[in-house]
Amino acid sequence: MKREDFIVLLSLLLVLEGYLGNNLAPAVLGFSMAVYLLLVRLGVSISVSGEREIPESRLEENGEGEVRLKLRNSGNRVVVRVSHELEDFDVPDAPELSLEEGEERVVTYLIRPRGKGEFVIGPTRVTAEDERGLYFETFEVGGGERISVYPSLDSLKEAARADHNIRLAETYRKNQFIGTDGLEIKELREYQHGDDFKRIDWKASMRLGELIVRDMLKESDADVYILVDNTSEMRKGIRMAKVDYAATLTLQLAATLIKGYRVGLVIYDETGASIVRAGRGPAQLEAIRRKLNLRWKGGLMSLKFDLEVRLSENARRFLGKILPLKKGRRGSKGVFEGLSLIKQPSFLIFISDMSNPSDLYRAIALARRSHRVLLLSPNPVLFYSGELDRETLKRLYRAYVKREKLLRKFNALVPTIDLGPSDYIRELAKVI
Amino acid sequence: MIGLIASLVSAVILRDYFMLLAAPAVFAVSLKNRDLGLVAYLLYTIYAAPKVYAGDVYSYGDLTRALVFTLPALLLLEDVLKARLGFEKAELVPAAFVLLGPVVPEAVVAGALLYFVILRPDWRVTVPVAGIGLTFAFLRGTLSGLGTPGQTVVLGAFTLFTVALAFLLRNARGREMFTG
Repeated sequence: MKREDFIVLLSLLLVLEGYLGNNLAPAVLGFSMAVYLLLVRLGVSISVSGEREIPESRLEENGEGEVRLKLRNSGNRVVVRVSHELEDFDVPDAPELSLEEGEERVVTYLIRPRGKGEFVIGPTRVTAEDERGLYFETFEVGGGERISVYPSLDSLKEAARADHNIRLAETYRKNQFIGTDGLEIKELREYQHGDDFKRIDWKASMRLGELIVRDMLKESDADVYILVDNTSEMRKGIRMAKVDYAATLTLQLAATLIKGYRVGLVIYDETGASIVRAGRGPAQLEAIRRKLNLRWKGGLMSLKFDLEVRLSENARRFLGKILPLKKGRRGSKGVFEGLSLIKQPSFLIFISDMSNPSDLYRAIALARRSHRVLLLSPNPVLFYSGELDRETLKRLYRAYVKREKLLRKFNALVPTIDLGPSDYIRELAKVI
Repeated sequence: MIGLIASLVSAVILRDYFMLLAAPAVFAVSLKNRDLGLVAYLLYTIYAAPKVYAGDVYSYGDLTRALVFTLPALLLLEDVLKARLGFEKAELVPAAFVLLGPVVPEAVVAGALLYFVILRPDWRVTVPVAGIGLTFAFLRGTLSGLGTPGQTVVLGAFTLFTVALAFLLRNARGREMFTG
């Protein structure tokens, strides 16, 4: 029921009450109320106009943008409510204000994008209500402005972290980084999703009526080599280079692993590689620490992740023979030299940002023939710490998408873990 | 807030202690919620109006008593609808008249009428007011003979006419109750 109708109803009720009660007072009030309604209705004048301005046409995802409304009241005093029914934006505090006769006022409110993309903002709906709250009019102000919402670095980090955690959980579950399976059976257990089919004990499965796998005792006498990428891209950074992080991670890994394994270190760059032979004990750890005097280099990261692995291994070998001049002229070859320094079948942990993916991919494909390989990759997008503007965000987003594709390719080859600048060192050390 | 003051003064003049207590309560409810205030106002008027007796328009005492109740009640409706504390400029002079009410009851009527005049009403508002005045003036012989029910019917007829006039003369989008 409308407020006005309620007053009309009350007015008629009072007249009826006067008639039935044989009393003029209620009837006079009823009549007066009708006259009052006529007075208010004829006197109401609601007329609000205005312009809208959105100063920032570029917003960051989860950020807030300001909307400025300039309102003019050319009617009687009104109460103005601003509502913004937007599908793609939240309006946390829609303003409400009182406008005097002839008053002009600028009102601002915030909009928060729900997702990223390019949006056209519809008009702001302004509801002006007379001061008695009996009548209202709605007006539309502005409309058609375009707003671009770019992904925030936080959302990129979050996405990368979620993805990372899935991989890390998988790794936890498999728990098969180090050591090779021996000949002795440790135990029989139920098959779990992700177990190697080769481990299924078919006889036991037939006997028990469900899939049973063999867990073998692990032989842990394999050496562990940590291969640190010290190429130019790894050394770049504004506040912290990935190579600094890699050095810390290497030390943490070495300190954890040296309790049970012989640990060695290979540092490679564009031109060559150097090795600390696998060994045990505190002296070995100290030798590794001294070797990790990697130099930081200022500058922006290139964020290029183009993988150019289009040729098969045989085709590559063939081309290498018939095109000897091309051999060794492109990319960083230090990784191959580093691999050639490791003679025994070992467990290799690569720490590289995959900024030179073609060579790394080939090197890892080569390495897994005789070694077990794990790739730890500091994600350059997560390591970015410079200024954020529209272009940078675009670039980071593109780099992130491209890198995701690359990660999938590497993951198909060897277990690959994406790392951020501060999150995973302790966690990773626990896993391995 | 002139409505609240006028209602209190009217309660004093009419010696009605229910009004003295209920009018502030109605106003307080309206400050919390305008629509609840309207409902409270309905209960207030339906209960308070029959307690003020006026039997004949042509009796000065009856007419004054009816107007001393009616016009402050109308001002209270204005307050309930505006739902605002504090005085406006337009209320100051009428309020001064209203405050003279306990001494001169007619001052309440004068103050209330002054307030409505200050609102600068459209001239068409005078049509039903003048109409009922002229009707009662010219048909005094007939209407005084009809007694209270007959005069009430005339008031009822003019009420319907006024409501029809209000809806016919102007289109306006009405606000629904209890919708914020």
